[in-house]
Amino acid sequence: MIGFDLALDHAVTVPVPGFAQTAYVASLASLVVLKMVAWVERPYERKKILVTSPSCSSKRLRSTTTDGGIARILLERRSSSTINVLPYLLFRNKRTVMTAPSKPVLEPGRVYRTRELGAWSANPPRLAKRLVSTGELVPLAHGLFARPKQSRFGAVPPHDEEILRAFLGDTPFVVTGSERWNALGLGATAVFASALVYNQKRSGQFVLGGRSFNLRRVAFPETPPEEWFVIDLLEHADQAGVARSELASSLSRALAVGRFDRDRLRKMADRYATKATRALVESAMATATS
Amino acid sequence: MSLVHEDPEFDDVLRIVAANRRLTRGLVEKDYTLAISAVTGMTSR
Repeated sequence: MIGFDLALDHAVTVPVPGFAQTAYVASLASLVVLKMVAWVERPYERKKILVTSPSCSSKRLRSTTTDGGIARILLERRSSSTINVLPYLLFRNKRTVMTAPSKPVLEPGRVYRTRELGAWSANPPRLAKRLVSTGELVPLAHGLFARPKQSRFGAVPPHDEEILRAFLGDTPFVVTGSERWNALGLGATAVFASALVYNQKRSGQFVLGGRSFNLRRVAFPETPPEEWFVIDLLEHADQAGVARSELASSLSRALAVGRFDRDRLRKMADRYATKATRALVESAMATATS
Repeated sequence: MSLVHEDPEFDDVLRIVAANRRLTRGLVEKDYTLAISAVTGMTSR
């Protein structure tokens, strides 16, 4: 309320360039005092205020960092607006409404976007900054934060899938690449430095929380069966470091022992494979039967 | 002898190491598997 009184009581008339009208705006002195009051109330959230405020123009104000210093300057100015706020600055004996800092209930292991913090604050970026400073959130990328899960071994980083869920805004995606291909048992053993992620939103190389993700916008089933990963491996045989002929032989042996579902494999090949890969799959199936 | 991969929180260990060393979880797991194979191979001789 003091702030409103100050701004309204000491508003100055400013002509609008090119028009006959004038506008009432808060005076520079009012703005400086309000900035100082805000800083005194929450200095830990307002580390830049003395740099960004209009007080920058004055060497004397720039060097002001204490209540006593502010009071000294205000007394020197001797304006009526400063006298209104002096009791607050010096003795804190004015009635003010101070809201308690919000304490959001954050789920360990979950990744949050800044806008999700809007459920607990009208100013999500500021809340995020405070939670990072208290260690409750760990920044992963611009606008992306993780609530670390504590284990016996220390703070556990979030799962790749959880990072991608938040980053891609709950849109469908599938993580593929060397780990999934190697698990098929078809001879691939190479390990990539970054995860391969098919999705519907982004393409390119992204580093999130120190981890590298290669995002591609391509067609993929929302719940991919194992047979789809076989097709994916055949399509990326060169990257996996295995010859296609070697993969076809391994696939043929796996089909012979009933390792994969033939109908599903054919269906996945028809939908997601190139003509050359479809021919390779058909050849592997034929060899497995004979 | 109790080994780390027998711990129910082994996956957490892999992710912590991967984050600290800036590697993928798969690389850390592969490194561990090779190392543990060498150690257990040596002890079984």
